[in-house]
Amino acid sequence: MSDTTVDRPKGAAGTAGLGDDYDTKYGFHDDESAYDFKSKKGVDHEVVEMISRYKKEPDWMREVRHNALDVFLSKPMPTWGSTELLNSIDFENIHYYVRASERQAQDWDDVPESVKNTFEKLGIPEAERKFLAGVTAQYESEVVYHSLREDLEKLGVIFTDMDTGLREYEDVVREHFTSVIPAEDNKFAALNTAVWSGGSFVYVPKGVEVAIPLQAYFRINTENMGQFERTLIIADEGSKVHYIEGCTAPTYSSDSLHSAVVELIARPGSTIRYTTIQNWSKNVYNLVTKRAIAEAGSRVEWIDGNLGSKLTMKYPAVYLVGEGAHAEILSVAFSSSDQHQDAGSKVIHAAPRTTSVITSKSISKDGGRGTYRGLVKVHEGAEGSKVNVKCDALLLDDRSRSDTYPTMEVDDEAVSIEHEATVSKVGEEQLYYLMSRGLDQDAATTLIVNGFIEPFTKELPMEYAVELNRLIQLEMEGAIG
Amino acid sequence: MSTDHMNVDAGPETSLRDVVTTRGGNDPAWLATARQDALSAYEASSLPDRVQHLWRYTDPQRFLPGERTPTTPDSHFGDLPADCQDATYEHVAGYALARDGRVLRSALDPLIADKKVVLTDLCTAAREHEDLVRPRLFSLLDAGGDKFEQLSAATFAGGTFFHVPRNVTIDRPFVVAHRVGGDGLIASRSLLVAGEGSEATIVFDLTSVGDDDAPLRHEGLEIHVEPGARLHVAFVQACGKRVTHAPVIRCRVERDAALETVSVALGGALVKSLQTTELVGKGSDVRVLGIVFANGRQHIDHHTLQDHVIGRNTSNLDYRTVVADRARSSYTGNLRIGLDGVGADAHQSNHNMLLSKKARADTIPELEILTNDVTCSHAAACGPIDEEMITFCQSRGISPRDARTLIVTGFLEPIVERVPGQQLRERVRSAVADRLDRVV
Amino acid sequence: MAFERLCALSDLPEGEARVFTVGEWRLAAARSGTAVFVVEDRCSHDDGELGQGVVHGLTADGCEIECPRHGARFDMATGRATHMPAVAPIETFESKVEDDTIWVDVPQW
Ligand code: FES
Repeated sequence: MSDTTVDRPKGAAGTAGLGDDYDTKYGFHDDESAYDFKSKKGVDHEVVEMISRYKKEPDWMREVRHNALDVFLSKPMPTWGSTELLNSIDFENIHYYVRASERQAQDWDDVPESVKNTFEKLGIPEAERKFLAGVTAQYESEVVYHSLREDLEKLGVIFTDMDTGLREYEDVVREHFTSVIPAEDNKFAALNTAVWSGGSFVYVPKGVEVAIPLQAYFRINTENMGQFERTLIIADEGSKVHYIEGCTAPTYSSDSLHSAVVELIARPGSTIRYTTIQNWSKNVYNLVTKRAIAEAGSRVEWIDGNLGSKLTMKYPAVYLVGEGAHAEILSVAFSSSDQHQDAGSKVIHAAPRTTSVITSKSISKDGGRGTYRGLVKVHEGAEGSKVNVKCDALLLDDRSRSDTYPTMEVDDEAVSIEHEATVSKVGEEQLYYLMSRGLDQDAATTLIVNGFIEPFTKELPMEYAVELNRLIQLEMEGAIG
Repeated sequence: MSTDHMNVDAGPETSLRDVVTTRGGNDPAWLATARQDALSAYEASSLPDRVQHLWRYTDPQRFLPGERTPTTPDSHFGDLPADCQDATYEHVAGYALARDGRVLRSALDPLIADKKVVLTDLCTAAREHEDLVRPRLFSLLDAGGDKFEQLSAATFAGGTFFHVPRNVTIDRPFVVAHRVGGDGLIASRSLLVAGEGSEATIVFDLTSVGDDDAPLRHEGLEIHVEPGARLHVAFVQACGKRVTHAPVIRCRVERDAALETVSVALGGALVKSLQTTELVGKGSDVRVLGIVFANGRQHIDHHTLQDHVIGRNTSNLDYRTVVADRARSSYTGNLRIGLDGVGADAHQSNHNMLLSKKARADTIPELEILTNDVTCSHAAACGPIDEEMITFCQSRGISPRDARTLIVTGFLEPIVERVPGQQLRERVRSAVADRLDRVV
Repeated sequence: MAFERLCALSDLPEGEARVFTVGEWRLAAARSGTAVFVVEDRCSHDDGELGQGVVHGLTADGCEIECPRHGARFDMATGRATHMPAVAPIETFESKVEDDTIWVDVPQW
């Protein structure tokens, strides 16, 4: 499940020609004059240099970016997954950096009707709609966020955007940035490392339990919801944190490529839960790398819901490197017409008595395609480890498609691995029963679908669960274009 | 190594094309041409990409002939297996003896020969039964597909042709005993046809001459099960520990037909096998069964595909693997339901038992479902021998060692008992017991 | 265990990894002077060919080899994984240099 590499020149970052006159030439040192700036289309060393200079980053970060760009340029496209869609991405036709103020300049009138209708039907407040559609960069609940931040500060919790994180906590960032996901990992991680902007930086000190979920949704500032956001979460020993990314309402983006990188580090005895609800508009390629390192006795949970986008390729991973660490990956993918959700999970057992539970639910409808792709690897020495994988797919009509590609590699005898998968349609009997109770067919099917994903919804905070059910209802009624 | 009867068609400086031309010399023109075409396809195709998942765990380089030249088949079979000595045909319906890819001799119960059943060498059949062979031979080859499949199609020295005519039912198995030696390239092709409404069982018993023989075997098989026919095929591969073995088995099962295949993989240093089954009609029933028992540094890589092109039929796959010492087994199983596969009922299961810390098992059970009115599942598991079962056995006065043997045997037995023929089944059981003695 | 010939000293230039086949083993080797480090040519992440990768920080005490596929690194002296995405160690082999020949100790199977 990985791509090969062609040789790339080592060392030469390819910055030749980007000399001392850079600042005067491009004038990015001047915030005011660059206020409306966005990078030219396409990506090269010049664009990378520009982003880094513009953000006034330390030299090491600039080098990391340039090296990553070399990796990106030298790595071929993955030859697995939805290759046809992947190859249709036009990397030359993308703005890799758009200053947030520029992003806001987008007009509400340009937002597609279908997206607006969905907001309407979901009952999303006016101000929030504009934010979700990328029309404003500020979300009204800024006030909520401020009081939240004060509480967190008292506990010593750092919760900020990644750019601020890099400025204010440079040493911590430098130590951990790319330590979980090196740029060489895959083509899209390399691209993100080269052009990243925004994302969250979270540090939870020893023994601190953050009682309320940290929501990127509330951490609104000019850099949020970028195309190439970069998130780093460190939970120190014995701490506990729940982070929520995204929301149920459609996130409209005029940029067609979203490629995030999320690195989690769970120190001994800590717990990290990372919940994502992804509902990108259907023009978006959502190619994301998410990975956690779980040390002894820690617990990492990925709760991952995929509803939107044209193509999603996302396989949250947990490396269980300390004895007794536990991974829990729970995912739901809903694919409708012209959508391919290629999602899954990876768990690497590299220490004794580590355990993992993977549950995947996929629903395909109106010709949509759902793919589960997973890897479970048990290294020699991970004795006493236990793995349980369960994948269920529900196909709602005869044009939809479901694929299951699990890989299990077992290098130690004293482990137990179980994997099960089923594919089925909505049961006639169940449907008949519900309809005999007076429900029409759509309502009955919706009920069955909601029941099917219940193991997922019950892990969500209430308001998300309610919204998700409502959204599925809309999807089932064909009310969403 | 039995080198006394062995030589090669040509020196190393002679190209494969010369060998193909020589071997095609006795073939009818259409077959000679087909060989040449296959060779061109072989030469034109690139080596499978390691990143492509079917070759992730096994290096395709190791299946290239390289320095090896095609082996001229030895004309002596050696000692006959017990089931081929059955002169009264009490337990077998007929047999064929093959060396290094070529059938040396075949014999049928005269009563069965009267029914026009054919069991003979493929090259002979191409000449004598063109009407049966020509429309089917190479028809199941994957056109763009497997490079090595083209290699066996081009260079095969011979192979088995088996044909059961329409509505003929045979109650005893046919046995094909095939022995290989030397260290050259041994290529063979076989074609099995169960005519409409017929019923038969055939067993391939594959061994090598001595422990030091280290040939590279490329073997292609095509199996046609015509409407309403029932065919049961077993492959028991117990070659020596230096053999490289690469069978490609293509099956096509038509409406209301039934095919059961049982493969037993015990031998070989390096094995890469591919078995695909197309279900092209309603009402058919396919069973794909297999065991792998590997020890030492054996590397066994199996791939299966059941493709429900048409639905309203069933397929069941059950593969069981035992790996010991530093051996490695990789199993990739794909279950595919096409757009017209409505009503398919398809299941696959792969269980792996690891007997040592250094043993390795990979399992990749895949599903590709393109329509919704289906019942599909797969299950896979890996683990050691269940300690609780050992404790339980001990409480019944059974030593831990005996308990382990019992448990492994019990794990494999449901597949072993599907091997046709009392004698062959017993041979499999004793081979399993022997190996268990060494690894438990 | 037995020492087998790996190559002549001159076949392994300093500072670069080279790949060798000894018996059934595929090995990657690097050297600094007469200190030779030999590991299995197989990355524990996803079977990448380590011998095609770059060697970092080579001294007589050790070095790191970087897998060309996804950037994992290993300590060539101990086999320990030092950089993601690899976490499990790789196999290392004892070696010695006699006259102009490098010998490596590989298990026999
Ligand atoms: S195979 Fe070596 S880093 Fe992935």
